[in-house]
Amino acid sequence: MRKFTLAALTAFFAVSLSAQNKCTVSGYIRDAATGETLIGAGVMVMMTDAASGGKTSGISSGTKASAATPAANAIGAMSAASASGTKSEEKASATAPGSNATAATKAKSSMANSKIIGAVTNEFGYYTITIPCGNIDLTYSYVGCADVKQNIDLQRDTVINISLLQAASLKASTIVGRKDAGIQSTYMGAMEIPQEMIKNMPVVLGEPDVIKTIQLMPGVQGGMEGFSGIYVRGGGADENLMMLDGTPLYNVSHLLGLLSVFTPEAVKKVTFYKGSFPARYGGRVSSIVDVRTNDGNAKGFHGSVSAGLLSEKLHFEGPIASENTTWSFSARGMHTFLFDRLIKAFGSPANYDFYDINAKVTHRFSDSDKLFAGFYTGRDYFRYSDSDKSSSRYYGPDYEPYTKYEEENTKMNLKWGNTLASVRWNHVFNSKLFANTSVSWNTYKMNMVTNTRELLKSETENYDKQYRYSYTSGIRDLGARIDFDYIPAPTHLIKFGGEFVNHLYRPEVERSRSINSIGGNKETSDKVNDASPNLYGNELSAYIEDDMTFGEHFSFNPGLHLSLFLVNGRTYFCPEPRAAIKVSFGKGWAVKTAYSRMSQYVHQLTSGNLSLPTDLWVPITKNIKPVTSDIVSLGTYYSGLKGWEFSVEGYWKQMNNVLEYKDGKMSFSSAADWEENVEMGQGQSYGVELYVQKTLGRTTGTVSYTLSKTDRIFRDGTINNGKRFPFVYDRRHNFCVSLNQKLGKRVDLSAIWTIASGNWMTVSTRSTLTLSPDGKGMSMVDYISSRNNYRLPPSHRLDFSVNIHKKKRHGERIWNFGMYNAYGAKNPNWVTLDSREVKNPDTGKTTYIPALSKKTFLLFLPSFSYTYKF
Amino acid sequence: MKKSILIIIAAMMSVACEEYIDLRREGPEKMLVVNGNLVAGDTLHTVYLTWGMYDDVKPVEAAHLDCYVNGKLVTSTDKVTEPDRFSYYANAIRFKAPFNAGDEVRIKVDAGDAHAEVTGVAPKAPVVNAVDTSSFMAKNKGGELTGFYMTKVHLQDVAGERNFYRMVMSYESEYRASEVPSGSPYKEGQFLCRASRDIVFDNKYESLLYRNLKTGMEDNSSDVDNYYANEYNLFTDNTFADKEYTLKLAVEKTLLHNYYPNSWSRDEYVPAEYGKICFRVLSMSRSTYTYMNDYAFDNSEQGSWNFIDEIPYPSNVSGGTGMVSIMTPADFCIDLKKR
Repeated sequence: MRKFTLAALTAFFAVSLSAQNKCTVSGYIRDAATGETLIGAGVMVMMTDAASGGKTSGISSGTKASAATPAANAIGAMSAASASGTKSEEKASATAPGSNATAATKAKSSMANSKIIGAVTNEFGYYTITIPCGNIDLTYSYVGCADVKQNIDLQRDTVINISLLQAASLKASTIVGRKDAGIQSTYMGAMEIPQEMIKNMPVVLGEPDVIKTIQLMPGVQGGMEGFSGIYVRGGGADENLMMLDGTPLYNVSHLLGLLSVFTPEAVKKVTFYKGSFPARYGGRVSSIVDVRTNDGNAKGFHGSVSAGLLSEKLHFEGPIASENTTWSFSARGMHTFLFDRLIKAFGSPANYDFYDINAKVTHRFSDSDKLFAGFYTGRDYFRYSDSDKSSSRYYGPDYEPYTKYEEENTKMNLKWGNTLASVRWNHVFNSKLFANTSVSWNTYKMNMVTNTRELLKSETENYDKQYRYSYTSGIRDLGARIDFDYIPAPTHLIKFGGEFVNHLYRPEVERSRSINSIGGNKETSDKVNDASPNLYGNELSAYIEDDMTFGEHFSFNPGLHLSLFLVNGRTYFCPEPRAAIKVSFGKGWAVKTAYSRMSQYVHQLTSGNLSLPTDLWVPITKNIKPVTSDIVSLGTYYSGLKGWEFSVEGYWKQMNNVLEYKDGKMSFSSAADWEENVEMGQGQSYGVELYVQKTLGRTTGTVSYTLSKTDRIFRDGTINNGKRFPFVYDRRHNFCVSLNQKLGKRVDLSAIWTIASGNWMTVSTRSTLTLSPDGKGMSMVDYISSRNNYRLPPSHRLDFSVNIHKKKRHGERIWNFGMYNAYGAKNPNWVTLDSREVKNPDTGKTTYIPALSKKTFLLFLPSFSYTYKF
Repeated sequence: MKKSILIIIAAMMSVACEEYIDLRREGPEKMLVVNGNLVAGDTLHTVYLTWGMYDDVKPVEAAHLDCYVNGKLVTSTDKVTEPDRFSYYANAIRFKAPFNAGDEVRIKVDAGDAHAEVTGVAPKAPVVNAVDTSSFMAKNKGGELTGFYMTKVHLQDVAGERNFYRMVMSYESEYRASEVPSGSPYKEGQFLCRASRDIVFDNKYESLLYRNLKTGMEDNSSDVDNYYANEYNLFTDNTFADKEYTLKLAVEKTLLHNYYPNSWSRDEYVPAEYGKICFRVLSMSRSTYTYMNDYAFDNSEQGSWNFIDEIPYPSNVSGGTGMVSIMTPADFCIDLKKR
């Protein structure tokens, strides 16, 4: 241990000493149009060999294409010197993308003896880069923005906040650096999902959706078609951590999962991790979906209003008093005016609607201090109201007529949703140390109230029976978190921090009151059933990771996430080592490998494929252990072709203590006995994922293909008699092509074609006989060879949408027309075991044979929406 | 116009179609199904034979059975009969095969072209160390206040392995002549006959047997058909592995009576009932335990829910399917007062 400490200290001082005579440039990169900080924007300096000895050389804009290759390995930088820096607020002139050939040629010739130093902004738009002092040219870049070049005579640590103008045409980021996701990052299976991709994706009912966009990524299987569940690399639906501005959300679905709660207008960036997880994340074993929202436009009041087939949305943002304070507000609600009419036209007593509200205020105290306050609330409402009244005439024993009045009323209100509030504080201690501190409050609650009344009035009988029943379940989190970015030397980016979350689980509380008035007597009875009383869980975690670079071709990111969970007087401790290695071979080729261990302390008890409000989140217990996963990945990447990215990743994933309902014991949405009904076992998944992305030009798009196998085994025999069986969403092949084509300035077309192997289902193939334990009874039952013994037919479909833009006097109008399942593929949206009538043509005799009833209801589903942006 | 648009939208959204997918037929048209509950110490055993077909089951009409104990052929028979209780589904073969705990039992059945085989070892039985009884008054399932016997069965678990048990209680009566008048051909205390029946004891007093849950049941429904009421009193040694455990079993006193099966006259005698409560703890394999639990669930109200997938029952029959349970009992009886 002592040797290890000495070695670590020696290494630390070595890297610190090597950083002498260097200067640090740091600051925020913003969108010039909105003032919004840009996540993942890059800053780059190209250095010749001479420059690296203390003299920098400027770079021409023509170098950007070459710089996009992984060969230009990211070397995020930070000086060891801590001289107070000068501050400059710059809005540099933009350089148009695609520079002149002469500059490019010059740059090319200088490339032979040069190297690139780059850095990328973190999730708060902050960057820092350490380079040898001297006269240098800095280039700032971001996807969809024109590059900005800045020449400075760098003599000491300097702060440069820069704003980038949007480019006339879409282009790729030209800077490579320490990106958290994407082909250039050290991490594997990490993807950035741009807002444009989410907005342009053709989806069911024309509602852009974050989760449905993620479904198109390799390694991700959708659940029920058209719905937004995701199953990542063989994991369950509850194994995905959905985070809104760093705070977990428990219920991310509206309309039984048809939509997710993330309003696209409020989203700034989505990062999706499925393989090597950065050490700062924990809590789920299969994927992380990190959604960051807009801070607000600092330049002026802007927004958008849109109405579609399903919902209407509005988004407003702007400054308050000065550019230092901004706000952002988004709201989405379901068209009750449309659906009310539809529902009434069908005579249904039920109705449904939902809404989402996102709000955020950001205040910049100084370049070193920034405060964010965010709020989200979303609710789903289901209402049912039915009344039956009748009045009849009867004759009494003396043949005197009398009237009997009867009334039956049933009312049900079901509402559920999340509310989240968080406050974050960004502080730049110095050019080496950046901190983000946050506190959050997060709650999910479901409440159902039913009222029934039976009333009878007559001369002979008189009663009034009222019954009220309420059911509540929920979960509440209180959390505090601190994250540091520390750069002691140019070759190290150390992230460390910790988090404490206090969970309150309130799985089920039932209350009932009955008031019976019979004749003149009135009886009231109250009953409270706390099926599973309040349960507190405390989760403490700490992490550290170091993104290290060694030369231009090798980067290594070791990390450790430690988590502690205290529940029911029992403590669980899970050390979670993480490591990712990237080796660049030049000319755009790179190889990465990674290992991650994850653990999870909560489970969601679901009732099937749909996301129902009665699905309960429950913590681990003394009997149910935490789920853990070990993921090993290996991949190769190529980005040598301008505007194209290619990747092939293979993975192997082992999951321990995964939960499944025991044979036959599902659909009981009760927390009282959930341990009785589930069993812990092992899961295994392995596969190969191919991903091609075209990022430049008028035609952009992706191609993804996944070949995978996933199964489960429960060795104690309570599930499938202890034999291995395929996971329900073990789709062997999954292929998807998405395309976005710009047709002139006003029209763009998006299309998706997807085909995937079918899910598994448990079906009987014959009849058999069972004998009762006492030997006195026999039952004819269906013979099931094993769980999930039948693969459903593959599903495929084509979706497309067209956006028609038109500039108006005060903004832009966008019409969106879409078609889901455009050629009407009869995919299995809902499958049940049934029987089919078969007539023997010879005998005319009718028999019934077992068959699956396949219902398809997402056929030729058109959609439209209107958006006005200003 | 507005109405027309609404109708068009509604029509588009409600476009749905239904198709049937015929299930693939797997395996032979007929599969031999062999079931039975074999108990060590009993000399006469029964297995039930059925043909499991794609859409139906039917009894096996002709078959041959060989039974081996520890590799030695003890029975070879082809006498297929109707079962004790009439069944449309199965025929039975009764055979003699004495075996004890630790013995390997192998049964081979040939019917038509099918050949099925079962091999199992009779598990070790737990030991009933002692049984205590006491009386108390409580409400029965019908809500009436009545007298109960509380019996505490001190059960010693089989050491060194995971064990699966079933608790069975029976009441056995022996009738003897009493109050014999002079001139009667009977003598005082003369043996008349025996009677026996299984008792449905009240397992609510034993948390190992009764799980106080009614999940999936109507709120006010009784325990009839409630899976968690554990009708067959199956349990494991999870909570008392290798140790002694005291099972608390209550039985209504009114149930401890068998009707004298013969006609009698006070001029000759009055039948006096000498009763005893007998406890039997059956030790079984894990797959038998799972099978019995599955059966209980499948035949409960919870198991009849439409949304639930069918259960893949475990099977120990190679060449066919079914479950031939090989169990070993631990027995203990308590004599009751004369009635």
